[in-house]
Amino acid sequence: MTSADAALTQTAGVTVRQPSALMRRVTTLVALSMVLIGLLLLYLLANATNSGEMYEQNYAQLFIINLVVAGVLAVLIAWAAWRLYQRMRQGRFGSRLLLKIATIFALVGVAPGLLIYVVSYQFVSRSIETWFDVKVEGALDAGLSLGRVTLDTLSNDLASKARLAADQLSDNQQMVQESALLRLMEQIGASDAAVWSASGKLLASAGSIGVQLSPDKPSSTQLRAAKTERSYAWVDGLEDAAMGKAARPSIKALVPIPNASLGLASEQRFLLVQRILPANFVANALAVDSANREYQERALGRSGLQRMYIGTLTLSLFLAVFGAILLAIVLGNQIARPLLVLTEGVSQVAAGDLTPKFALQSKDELGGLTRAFASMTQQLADARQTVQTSIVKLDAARARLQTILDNLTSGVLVLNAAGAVRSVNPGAARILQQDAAQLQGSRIADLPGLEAFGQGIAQQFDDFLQGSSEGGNDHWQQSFELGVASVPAGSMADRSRMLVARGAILPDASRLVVFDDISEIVSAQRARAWGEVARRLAHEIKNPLTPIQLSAERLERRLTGKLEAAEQQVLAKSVKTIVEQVDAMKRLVNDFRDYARLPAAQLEAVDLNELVDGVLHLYESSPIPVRLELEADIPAVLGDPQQLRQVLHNLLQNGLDATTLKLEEAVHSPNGLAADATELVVRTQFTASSGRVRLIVLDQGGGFPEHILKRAFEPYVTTKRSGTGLGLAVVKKIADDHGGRIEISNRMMGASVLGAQVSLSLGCVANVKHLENTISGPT
Amino acid sequence: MASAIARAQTQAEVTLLRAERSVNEVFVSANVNFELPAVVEEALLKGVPMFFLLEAELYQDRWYWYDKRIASAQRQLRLAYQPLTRRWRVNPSAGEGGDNTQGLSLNRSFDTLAEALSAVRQVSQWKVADLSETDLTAKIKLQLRFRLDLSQLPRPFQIGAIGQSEWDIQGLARTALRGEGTR
Repeated sequence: MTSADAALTQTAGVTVRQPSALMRRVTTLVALSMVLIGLLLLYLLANATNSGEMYEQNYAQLFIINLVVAGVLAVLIAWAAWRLYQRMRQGRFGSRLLLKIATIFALVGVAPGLLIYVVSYQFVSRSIETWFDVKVEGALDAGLSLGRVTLDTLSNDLASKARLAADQLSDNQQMVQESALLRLMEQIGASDAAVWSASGKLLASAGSIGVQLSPDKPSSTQLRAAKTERSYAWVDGLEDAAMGKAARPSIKALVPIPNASLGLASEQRFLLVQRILPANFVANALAVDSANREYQERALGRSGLQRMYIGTLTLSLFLAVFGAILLAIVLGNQIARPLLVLTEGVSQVAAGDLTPKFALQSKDELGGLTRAFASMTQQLADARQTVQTSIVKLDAARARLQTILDNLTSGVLVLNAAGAVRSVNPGAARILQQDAAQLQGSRIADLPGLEAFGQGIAQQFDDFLQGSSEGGNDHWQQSFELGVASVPAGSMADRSRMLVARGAILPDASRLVVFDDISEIVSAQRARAWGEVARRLAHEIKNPLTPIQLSAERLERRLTGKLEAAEQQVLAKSVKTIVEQVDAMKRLVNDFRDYARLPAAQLEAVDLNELVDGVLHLYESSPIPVRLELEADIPAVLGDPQQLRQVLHNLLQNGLDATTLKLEEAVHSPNGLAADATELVVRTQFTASSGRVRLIVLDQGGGFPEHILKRAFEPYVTTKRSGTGLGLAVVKKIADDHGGRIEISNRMMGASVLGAQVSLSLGCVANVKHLENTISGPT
Repeated sequence: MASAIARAQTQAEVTLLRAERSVNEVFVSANVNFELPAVVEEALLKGVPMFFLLEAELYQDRWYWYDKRIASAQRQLRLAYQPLTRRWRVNPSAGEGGDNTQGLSLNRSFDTLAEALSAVRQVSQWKVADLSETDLTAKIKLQLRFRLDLSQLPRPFQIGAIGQSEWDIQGLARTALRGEGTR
């Protein structure tokens, strides 16, 4: 108990139980002491029924103390039962088990006690009854009667003899001689004889009376009785003998002595004779008497005796039962405690509470069980802690992975075996230009614009699965072109995209597709390749051009005047053609060279309106008028003025060429453009929200054919018969160098094309500065 | 026990109580009237002796405190029936009430119960105490208690008699002590 209590105080979670444990101990002590007191008293009580002076005096007190102890025990039991009932009503844990154990123990204790009680009860009541027998009583009565009759007979005999003697004495007048008395004594066999006067005076005596100092004087009643009945006999000294005193019981007879002298007023005299009773008779009579008295005493005390025995028995039963029940409760508590601790712990664990459990320190198996359970719970708690830690780690890892996926420019799709999208990252949604939520769960081939892509992926996976079963590669890679056929003609932003996709099978049989938009890369590669071609071509072509031109001019100079007029004319014309074509070729080669060797842009603040004004001076004599729509007060843009002029030249030249072509076609068609209505528009706009300035050139030419529109910025793509296809390529290159954005589109009115529009947006000085700062900041 | 069942007792009435002081000695005379219950008589006739106890206590008045007991005396009388001789006998029990020679003769036998009972009932000139050390002017009260002494009965008998009102004969009387001057 003590070590368990120490454990109780040590374990913080169960300190609340300490008061009740203390109380239980106190209760146990009280109950045990009560039982002990009860047993001791019961022993005394049982002993008290045997003879013993001390117990006789204290029987009542013992009985009462026992009753009190029994009452205290009963109260204790009632209290315990009430507490148990309360606990059961509150549904307190373990009360049923406690009740069960206590009931079993109490039954074990009470049942034998009850059995013994019943048997003893019967035994006591029967055996006491058997002590008292009618025959014995009758025999005792008879013995008494016998004694009585004998005594009566002896008395009557003595009385009649005394009467005779008195008659003899009456002859002697007045004086009675002692000798006469002695003779008379011998006659009737008496031990004493005396003559008394009516007034109580001893007149004469013989035998032992005479020597007595104060002989027993007959009482007046005796004298009166003797006078009226002529004789009176009684037994004297028997009571004293019965009380154990040294007495000699005797029969005494008193008779009046008849008065011989009639009429003489002399005093009445009485003769008193005494005969000693035989000693053996007295002894027998007294034995019968005492036996009878004892028997009668017991017979009278029979009910008391029975009550005493049964009371003692009943009391002992109560004490035993109460003690048994109390012990049962205490022992039940003792035994149930580990079980309660255990089951309470189990229910707590079942409810998910894995806090350290209280373990009993006792050495028995139940204590060991509680300890084992406590350590098991501890291990469980540790395991759960580990699991939670790893879950947290896993979550963190997943979040990290997700962040990486979300910020990946590559698209990542996970498809199930049927081809439906299971997960998608923002990069994929951006590249495929779909809503991520819309992508989720749908088949790619079902989405508008992605039919070919989806089918391609499915086809690749099918092939891959077939191949991998034959021990092929662990992934496939394939490039796709998106939006070639389906995207309608529109802005440059809708242009087709080149994707490189790579697929693999995930461990759970779902399909992983990772793809990149390589359109930009392809475009850049193409541009660089063309640049290289242009540089080499220009170098190779430019070298022979000057000798050709010089040779042609020398031919003309030498032959001029030596030929016929007709031939001279042919010569001049041919030379002119040669020189012109060579110039054109030079220009072409220079363009190529310019494109390839476009120097790096020297960025500075440029007032775009001023720049446009300057360039436009050169076009004042142009057959088609150029109109300016310049927004006032636009901020300065960051750019290379030389290159921006080149851009404007190229764009204006393209617009003029396109418009001229359109006009020439219009000459041959009835509803063509009127020459005077055509114009080019150069416009500048400032968009405050984006902080950029747009330079827009509008023409009224034939616009771009659809296939050109998507690749207009690639070199050698042209709508002009004599164009090099480098104009827009150079513009694009410059725009890229400036960090600008170039858009190209057709101006539509209904289904008919009004013309083309090219817009270049450039960053303002402030914005670009800011941008540069942010870019250069980390590096 | 006796006090616990005093309510159900057979009332014995103490009459003609007189306590007299003659110089230093106190004498008590009284009559105790009671009817012998049938069960007691039956027991007597079967030879079971009965003991009657007479207790006298003297108290001196004390105005500041409860009365002080200054003397007490006990007299026990044994009443028995001898079936052999069919005679009744009254005698003082051995060792009880040392000086009870006065007013009571030793070993008296009677032919009838009534005669024997009258001997039990009467108390005359019983010397209760010797008050040589007590102030003559002190107020003294006497309390006389009479009862059937069950404790002298055989034990099983006692247990049977406990709680039975018929066995409980009690009487109580008080009187002031009369000195010589008042006489």
